[in-house]
Amino acid sequence: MLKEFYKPNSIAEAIGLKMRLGADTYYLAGGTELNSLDFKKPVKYLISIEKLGLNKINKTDEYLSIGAGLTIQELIDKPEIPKQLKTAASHIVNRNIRNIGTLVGNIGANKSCSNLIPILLALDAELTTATPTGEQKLRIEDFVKDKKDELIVSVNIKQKKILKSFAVKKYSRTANDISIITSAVVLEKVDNKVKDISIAVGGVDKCVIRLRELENKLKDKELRQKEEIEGIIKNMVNPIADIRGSAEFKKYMCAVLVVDCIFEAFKN
Amino acid sequence: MKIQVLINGIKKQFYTEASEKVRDLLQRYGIVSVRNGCDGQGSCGNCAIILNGKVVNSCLLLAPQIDGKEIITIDYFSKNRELSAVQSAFVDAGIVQCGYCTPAMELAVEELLQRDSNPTSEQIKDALSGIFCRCTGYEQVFNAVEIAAQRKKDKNFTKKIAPEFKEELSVVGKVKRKVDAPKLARGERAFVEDFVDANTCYLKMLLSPYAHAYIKNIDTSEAEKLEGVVYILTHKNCPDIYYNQAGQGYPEPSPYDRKLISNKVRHYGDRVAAVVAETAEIAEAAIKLIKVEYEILPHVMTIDEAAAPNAPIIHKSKVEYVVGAPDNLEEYNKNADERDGKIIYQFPIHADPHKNIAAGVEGGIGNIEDGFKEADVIIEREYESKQVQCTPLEPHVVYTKMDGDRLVIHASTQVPWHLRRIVAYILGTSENNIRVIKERVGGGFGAKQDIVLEEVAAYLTWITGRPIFYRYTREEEFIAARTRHVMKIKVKLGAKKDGKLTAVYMDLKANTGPYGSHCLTVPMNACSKSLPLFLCDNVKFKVTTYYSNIAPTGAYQGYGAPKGSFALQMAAAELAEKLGMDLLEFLEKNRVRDGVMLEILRCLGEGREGTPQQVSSCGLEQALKKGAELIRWGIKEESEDPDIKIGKGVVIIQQGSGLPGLDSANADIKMLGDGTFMLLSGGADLGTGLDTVSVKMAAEVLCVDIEDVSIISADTDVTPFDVGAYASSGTYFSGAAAMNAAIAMKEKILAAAAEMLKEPKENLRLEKRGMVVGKNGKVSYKEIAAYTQSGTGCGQLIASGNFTTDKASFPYGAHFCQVAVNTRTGKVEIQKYYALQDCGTPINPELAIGQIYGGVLKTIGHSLYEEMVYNEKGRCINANLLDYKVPMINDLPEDFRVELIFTDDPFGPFGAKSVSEISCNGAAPVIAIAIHDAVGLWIRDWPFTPEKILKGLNKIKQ
Repeated sequence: MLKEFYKPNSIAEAIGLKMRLGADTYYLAGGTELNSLDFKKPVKYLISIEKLGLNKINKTDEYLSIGAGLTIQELIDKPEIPKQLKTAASHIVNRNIRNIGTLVGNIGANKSCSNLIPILLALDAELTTATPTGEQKLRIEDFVKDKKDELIVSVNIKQKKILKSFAVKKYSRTANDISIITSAVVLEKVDNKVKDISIAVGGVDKCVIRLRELENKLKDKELRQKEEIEGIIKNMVNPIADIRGSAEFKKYMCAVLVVDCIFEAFKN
Repeated sequence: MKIQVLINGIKKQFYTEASEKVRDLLQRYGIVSVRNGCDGQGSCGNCAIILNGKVVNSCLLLAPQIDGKEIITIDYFSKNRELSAVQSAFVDAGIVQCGYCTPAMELAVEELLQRDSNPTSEQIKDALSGIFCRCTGYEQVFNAVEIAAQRKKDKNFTKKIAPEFKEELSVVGKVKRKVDAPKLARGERAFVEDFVDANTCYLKMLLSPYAHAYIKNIDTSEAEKLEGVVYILTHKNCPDIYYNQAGQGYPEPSPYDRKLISNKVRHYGDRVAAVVAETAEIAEAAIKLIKVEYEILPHVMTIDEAAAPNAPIIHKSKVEYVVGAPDNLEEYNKNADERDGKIIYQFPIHADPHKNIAAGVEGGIGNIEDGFKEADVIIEREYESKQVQCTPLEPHVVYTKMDGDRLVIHASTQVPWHLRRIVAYILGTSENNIRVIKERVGGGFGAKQDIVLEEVAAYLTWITGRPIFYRYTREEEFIAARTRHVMKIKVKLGAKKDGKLTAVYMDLKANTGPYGSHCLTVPMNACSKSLPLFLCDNVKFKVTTYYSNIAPTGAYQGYGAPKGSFALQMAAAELAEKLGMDLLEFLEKNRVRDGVMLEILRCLGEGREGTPQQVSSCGLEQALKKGAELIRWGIKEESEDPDIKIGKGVVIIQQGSGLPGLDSANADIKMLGDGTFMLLSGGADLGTGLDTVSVKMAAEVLCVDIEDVSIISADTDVTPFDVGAYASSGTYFSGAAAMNAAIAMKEKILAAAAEMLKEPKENLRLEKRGMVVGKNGKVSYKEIAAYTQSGTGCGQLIASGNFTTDKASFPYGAHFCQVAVNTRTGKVEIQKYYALQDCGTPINPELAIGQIYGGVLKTIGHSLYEEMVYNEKGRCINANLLDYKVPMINDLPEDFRVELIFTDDPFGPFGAKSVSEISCNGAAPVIAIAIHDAVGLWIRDWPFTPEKILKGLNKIKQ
């Protein structure tokens, strides 16, 4: 049961509160994940990030740094946000949710069906997190894999990654349904060969994952036939059967989405 | 903690808990327009507010999150009783049906128009993407937004939003404002939950965690000790009264197979104990203190499991008959298990509960064997479907209280009089001691044709004297309200080479779940609303309904017909393919037509002998012709994407207009002091526009405008009897009763005017607006009112009307669709969906169109997305709107059109027939037929998920 709600004015204050309050304390952004029925964890204390000023966008030659507190709708509306992130954000179809749900909330909830994490993984995004010892940088892949709960301050994407070709896809039964399978690919093509490729998928494991083995098989080569790549993917992922679909179906759909992403990105 | 908020322009301070949701806070403040449809999941958007300029769900926000911010609700736009541009546009576009989601939709449009004064369709879809509406099918909202956008610039802007019918009439067949729409558009108090008094107790139910079990022991002592607990009802202190919850005409064909609470639970979520407490929180805490010992029984979920030789028996009950007991009853009852209680049948329905058979019936015309012998081609196929839920946005809800020694029930019901009768029976009192007031219904769809929770609250108020509020959660709505019967239908058809049908056989097995609500009539209706579509001399059907432990079933818009229609239309398409014949040509050759006698209806009465009926009007010829032109029937469409295959389908559909010989409706009308009228109708408007139909009927007869007639409907103390809103009876029965009351009033007006004008009645006629004109003079209704109501007059003019009939009028329709099947992903996109329907004279054309859009989109949902999924323990594991997967605005067909095909029915009031339920009968078969046309795959089990399509295409393993 929620006992107290805090609205700290600084990051230091927020971190201090988190340390002091201990277990069952969470940072709260928009609340679309934490405040929903879907959240089954016991929540004792909430620390709002509202006043921490986490909604700035900074551009350097090397990085685009996106304030983690931006809402999903702001990702779509702000001209500084790259198209790949806009496309992923638009896959969250429900505008009422996009209007208040945030980038940090989506990453922090760390769901396998996240619509934003796959493209961020494929872009090799880095997170700036706030810790008692100061700001830290870590790869989003590590954050996701290790189920970290530090306060995410910003999401940083290398400008050269943004320039690469990309594709983002999702499969859901209805438009508003939670994505059953998601896929994102970032690709660099040189001389009709795959020079570099990053592939991330959601819905086939406990969290969004990179398909590094596949990436390695595709790098520095001409693009293989669709069926061949699909076959490799099907041997690579092991989704579980649940109400959203059988394992066989998810495996198939994952292969299709990834391959379609690869070919779309390759074509672009 | 204290927060400060600017609500609708007013600075307010609130003392709140950190955990209080903003929706609850606003409701506490008195803003009722923020509705709860999903219990805070955030999936329905009915609680939407504008927070600092953005539309968000207030159920997902905690009170501290709005500290220092600005909130706008629909109430902001409802100043001085004037409708805002958006509100009036919603009303005029006919998009306000039940009205539960209307404030949320309007807010989304307000915000959209702030961002863009001339939005595109895609922007409109995006703006409304988070708001779930089950009634309207969304399509008319595009008109509403256009009107609203223009009205913001020019408040007098109007647009033709629907065709009009019958030039000679002034209000019937014309686009007029739905009479309850302004109130709903303003987000005013209208629903049961809006009228709950401050000292009201809350009722919560301890639900069974098992699908099938005996309650061996139940101990409520600890719960009773909890401060604030008022009363706990269990099987131990529950009256020994058996009844059925189906709101059907008495004596019902549904078996009396349940008590308020039984010592045997028959589905996950069945009643174990009802707790009344001072607050909902105390009731919930008390539930946790109740100790129950169960003897768990094996459960059965499917028709095959229920019919298996050694299946667990759901009702091994002692059987009684009010009339028609079989000779071997004593012998039969020797096998009963005392713990299973009783079943009382009002008359035989061919049940055999000890074999899990809840009901059965068979019949036919001609000679089926001869029919198949005559045939050149025979096919036999089986069709199945999953369980779907009605999902009204307002879940089942009731508020009961005592008024002196009388019980008052504020209900969200389709059947106020059946509710009163059933509650009186359970209470052991007479009907004059009970008043049922039907409030606005936030979506019914058949689910509110049953007495699902009302009788428990009524009983507990009756014995405790305390006012009680009882509202289902969304999960309870799934597991303990009403769903559509699951069916497995075998169809065998025979035809000559030229396509003429020689034999039609339908063997239908249905799953009624734990109790026999509508167990005979829903499955039977699957036959009676599908078989008469084809003219064939040899027809036979067999219906068997089984008990099981799935969530309860009952009435759901279409009442079995969508399943019968799916099976028969699919079989017809499969037969046409085998014959090598164009489907449209096959339908044209075999379809029902004007004037034919439907002999098959003799064996399809509702538990009694039926009556053959002559088809009084049939718009199928025009519907098929126009639909074929619109969809370019016969022309193969190709996609540029090689993975995408395009296909087309067509089906014919029908329904009834109430139940001739069974239904009855009544209305009274009074002339008021200034010559206007108060209409008292028994009809229960559940958002469909029935009140508007009744007002129009009266206004048309009496030559006044609809503004001159006010209506009170469905209050058992105030208005006369009506069986209720089901079986598509609203317009045909309740509307006709209003018309007949007005005709009786007209006679009285003429008699009074004859006295006043000193002319014979025959010389007089009514003229608009509210005049009686004779050869020598004229007199206004106002003058007539003054004359009749004066100290020397004959008294206030009051007239009554009744409608009963033995004549049936069938609405017909043809649905066409075009799908694009992605053979790589299995995904089906509906590119075109055209519903061409004959509802006789559409009384409210724009509302009739809305009914059709709503019915179609709902059943597109059933066909492509929705299904209740159970785990191995018999628990529904997707009992919420998100996981159950309802269609929303972004799931609309790309091109979605409704065409009203006019026929002038000789029996319906002003030529009207029913419109809503029939709309649910086309989607499943027409989509499946189009899928086949696209990829050559017959999918005989809905929903048609990508997984099934990929399996059919051998892309993934079977």
